[in-house]
Amino acid sequence: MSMIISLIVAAVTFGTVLMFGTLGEILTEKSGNLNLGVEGIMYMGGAFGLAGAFYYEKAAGAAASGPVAIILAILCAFAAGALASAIYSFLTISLRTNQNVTGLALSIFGTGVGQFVGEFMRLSEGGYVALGNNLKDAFSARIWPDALVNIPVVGNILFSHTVFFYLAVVLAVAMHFFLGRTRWGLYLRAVGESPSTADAAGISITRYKYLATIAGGGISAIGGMVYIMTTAGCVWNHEGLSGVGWLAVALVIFCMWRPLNAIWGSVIFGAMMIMYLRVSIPFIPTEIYKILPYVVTVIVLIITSMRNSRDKQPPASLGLNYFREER
Amino acid sequence: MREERTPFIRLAKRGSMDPRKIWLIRVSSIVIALILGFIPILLTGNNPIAAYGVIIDGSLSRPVYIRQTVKIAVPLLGCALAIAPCFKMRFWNIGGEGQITMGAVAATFFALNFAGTVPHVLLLIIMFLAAAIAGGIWAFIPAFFKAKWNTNETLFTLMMNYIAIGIVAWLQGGPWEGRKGSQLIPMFDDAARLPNVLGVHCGWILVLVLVVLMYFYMNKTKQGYEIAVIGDSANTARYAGMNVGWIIMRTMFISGAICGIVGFMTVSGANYTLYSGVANGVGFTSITVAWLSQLNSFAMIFISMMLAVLEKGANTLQTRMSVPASISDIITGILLFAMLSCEFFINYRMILRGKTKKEVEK
Amino acid sequence: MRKLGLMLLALVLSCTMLFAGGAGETATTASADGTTTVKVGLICIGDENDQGYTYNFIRGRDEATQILAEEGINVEWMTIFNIGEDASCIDANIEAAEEGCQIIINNSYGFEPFMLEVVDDYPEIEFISCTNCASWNDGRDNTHNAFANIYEGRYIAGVVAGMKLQQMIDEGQITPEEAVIGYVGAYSFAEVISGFTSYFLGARSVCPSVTMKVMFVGSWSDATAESDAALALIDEGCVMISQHSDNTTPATAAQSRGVFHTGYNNDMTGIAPNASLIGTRIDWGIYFSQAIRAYVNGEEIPQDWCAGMGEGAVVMTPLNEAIAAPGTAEKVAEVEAALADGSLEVFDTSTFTVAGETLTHAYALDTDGDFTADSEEAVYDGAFHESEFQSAPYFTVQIDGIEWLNSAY
Repeated sequence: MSMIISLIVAAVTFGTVLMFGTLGEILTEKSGNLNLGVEGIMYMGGAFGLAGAFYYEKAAGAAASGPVAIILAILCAFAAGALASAIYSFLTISLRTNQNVTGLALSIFGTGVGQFVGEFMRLSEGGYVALGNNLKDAFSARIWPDALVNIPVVGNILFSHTVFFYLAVVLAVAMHFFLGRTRWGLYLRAVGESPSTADAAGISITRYKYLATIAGGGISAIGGMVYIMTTAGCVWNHEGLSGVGWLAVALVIFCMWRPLNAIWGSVIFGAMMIMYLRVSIPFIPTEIYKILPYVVTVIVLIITSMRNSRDKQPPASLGLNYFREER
Repeated sequence: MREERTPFIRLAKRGSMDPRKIWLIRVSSIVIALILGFIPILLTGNNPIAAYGVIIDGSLSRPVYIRQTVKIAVPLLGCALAIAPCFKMRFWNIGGEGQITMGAVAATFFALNFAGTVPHVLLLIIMFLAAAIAGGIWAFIPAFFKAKWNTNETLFTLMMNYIAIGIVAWLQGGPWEGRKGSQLIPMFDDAARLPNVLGVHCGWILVLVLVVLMYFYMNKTKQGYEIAVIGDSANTARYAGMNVGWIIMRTMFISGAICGIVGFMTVSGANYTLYSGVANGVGFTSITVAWLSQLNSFAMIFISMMLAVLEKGANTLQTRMSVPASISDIITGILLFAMLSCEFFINYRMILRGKTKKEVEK
Repeated sequence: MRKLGLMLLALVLSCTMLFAGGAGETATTASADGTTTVKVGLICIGDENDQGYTYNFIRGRDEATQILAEEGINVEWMTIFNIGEDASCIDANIEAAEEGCQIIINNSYGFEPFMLEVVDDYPEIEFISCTNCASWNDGRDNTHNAFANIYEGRYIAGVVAGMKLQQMIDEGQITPEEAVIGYVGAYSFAEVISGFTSYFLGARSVCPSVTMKVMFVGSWSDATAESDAALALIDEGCVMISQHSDNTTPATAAQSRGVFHTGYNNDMTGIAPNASLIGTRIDWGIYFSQAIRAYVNGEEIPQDWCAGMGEGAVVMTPLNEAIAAPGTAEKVAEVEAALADGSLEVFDTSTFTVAGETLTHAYALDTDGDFTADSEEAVYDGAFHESEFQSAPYFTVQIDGIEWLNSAY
């Protein structure tokens, strides 16, 4: 039992990273844009988030406060991701470039920018870029009082996480209501499902696509920052983020494009990625554990396409650009 | 309510454009991208012109450097050729990474187990065929589901990449491991290595032959025609009596097979061993190569060389000027953005509205 | 299209003419003021941000530069960071060679097979592979290996950890059975096995009830996996964490869970002031300066170099007096002296058993390339003699008291 609890708690740490990445991509894909640049976006979020907190600490010295650093890191990461997605949006929406190719280009570009910024900070700071212990603790601190954490079983599962986990959960719930209950959310879904119908109904396709994609990119980028600031120890890690963005893309499918599913989905994916350290099953080599998320995603993808049920499909226009004059 | 208004900019598809003008736009987009690349270089406190000089110098100034550059370009070109028919068909195969990896796995199996017992050339032929088949099968799986149940191929092929990479990671630490615990597969025996021609493994000749073959396949054969028809409209193809599902599966098998061959060339000619990063992003980068070349085989030679020059040159840039080598990814990204965008200006004409109203909605 | 291609090719070629030239001289240059300049390449698996393995090499690099500068030898370093244990290592070695390096040092174990693909093309350049072992029978003159007796340092770190555990037992914080060490290992092969075994023997020499759990992460440098593994070990009840991996995340993990830690490669007490007790590291400056000096003087760089605490090649980082058990510093000094004068053997076969038996036989070297040692008896005079027949460790025995939680790596 305690092993399962500790597995869940550990899974949440990496799951939080994925949850941000996935929620952002869900929002993007709901508008019909398949942004394959998540990998690059998360790299940029990680590098700029770290940079924001690092230079803030450098400027503020010992007076640096944890909450300010956290907010700055979130803002910097969001801005970096939003900027990267703005490039993607401009190209695919206004200049009508192919979404797959543009997304991959953004992956290459973003990875380059992230690594460049990380390396550049190291070179310009003479070798080592990391936050001081106080800020480091602030990023990985538990936010609930010990009394709650110490409740048997549920205490650890529910209350022992960092502030980022709760932010992500709030975001998921908010996004669920936004997409399902608000007019803007319905319009956004209409844009993703059937742009020509939405256009005829007077919804501005361009505006919704831009906003959803840019906001989505910003949210995904926060995931990269959370990775660097929690699991990687507030130090820039050259290859650390590689593959995380693609895993987030997989998780979008696993969650069937639903924000609420992302909450448990990300914990499951997080668990699969660390299970090799905690659960050893005879005859199954541990490396094989790490491909489980992808295998499961493929299976989900196949089953949904076979069952062909309407509400469990990718947005109908996913990956396709909308040209009014070709209507 | 929506009021009818004329957009600020209206777009109209151009009929045709003077080819010279088209090339002017394309070349200037490259130039603009390279100038944008000044920004990160300036940030590091270096002279951008000198930095580009180092990139050229580090990639083309000596025979060794040219060989190193070509070594980077070969898999890019090979994989771009593989991607082309799929993209022509509007089947978004972004699984090149996994297909390369599986081809490499199959080739490595024979390299590890039959070197020494099978003569050199025969062994290479076996490795070649095994890689082609393995890559082909890996690509066939998503194609089958696409044809049968219309499963989203972009996401399916993407997932297959990481499954393939995971399999290699397992082989590295498991059955094929060399020194116990090292997670390294032993280096290939000489009998399993591609011979060098002009200092680079002979894979470069192979891909150049493939360039010509692919050109003919796409433009002069019935199968190439079928692919083009499906790319225009799958429904038209169906009405014309084509078995669309079968053509998808066939094309994907060919595409995967070529990727597999690239994997074979990489392990046998360049790396001399197998590890999980064998594809090294080539499967993704080559997609942009193929697309920017407008799926034209000959143009791919140029584009892949250009990206290879950047990558190799950036390594020298790092060692000489301490500019992080990731600069090559940044400049590559900017180049891709610029070249993708410029097609818009070639294909569309912008008609500006009279300056009476000031709404900014596009 | 083709016309354009030709145009651009011409452009590229003319640029090449413009910027070509420079680089290329390879002999040591003696300048007028009597100083000699030598260019050395250092290819690293990570960068200084790991604050561990690669950072330790960079410290060695800077120290060697300083030592040699006083002797009139200027070392011009070309450091290449973040190279994987894959074919990019071939390219990095070619790059370093072409850019005029006279000595090229590869800092990671897995670099060697790739380095060996390059060495024959540059017979005039000396190649050094740290921590690996091919040079003694690869039939080449320009390849070298080097490692230090880090197991001595680990033994002492183990003593420090054992004293802390014994203190906790004596004060009633844990029962004797709860004195469990968790060890984050990179791979399950000799260098790591030798390291954690010596560490464990050090701890058990002062805390008889101690046991150890080892978890391998399958990577030299994967900050996240190292942290995850440390947390998993702590969840399994380990109260002391040590590591053979490149990053500092095991230290931060220990700190965050309120358990103790001993480090490798660097002083980690700054990063985890309430957890990290001590660390041990190789002082590469000793070797780098010797090798480069030999090269400049026209002497042979040793084919396989190995030194220990006596030569200063293995050093302990400062003891964290605030949290270490009382009397630790004195004990450390005593053990250091015993190791230096040879009265203490780390792998004394009377201190451990293998499946209940005393170890009487183990080979050191692999002569036929099948990755299993098959010659040179390492066990004699009542001890296993580590790093005597080659610098790279060859202790691969699984001793009683250490539990491997996973061994697929």
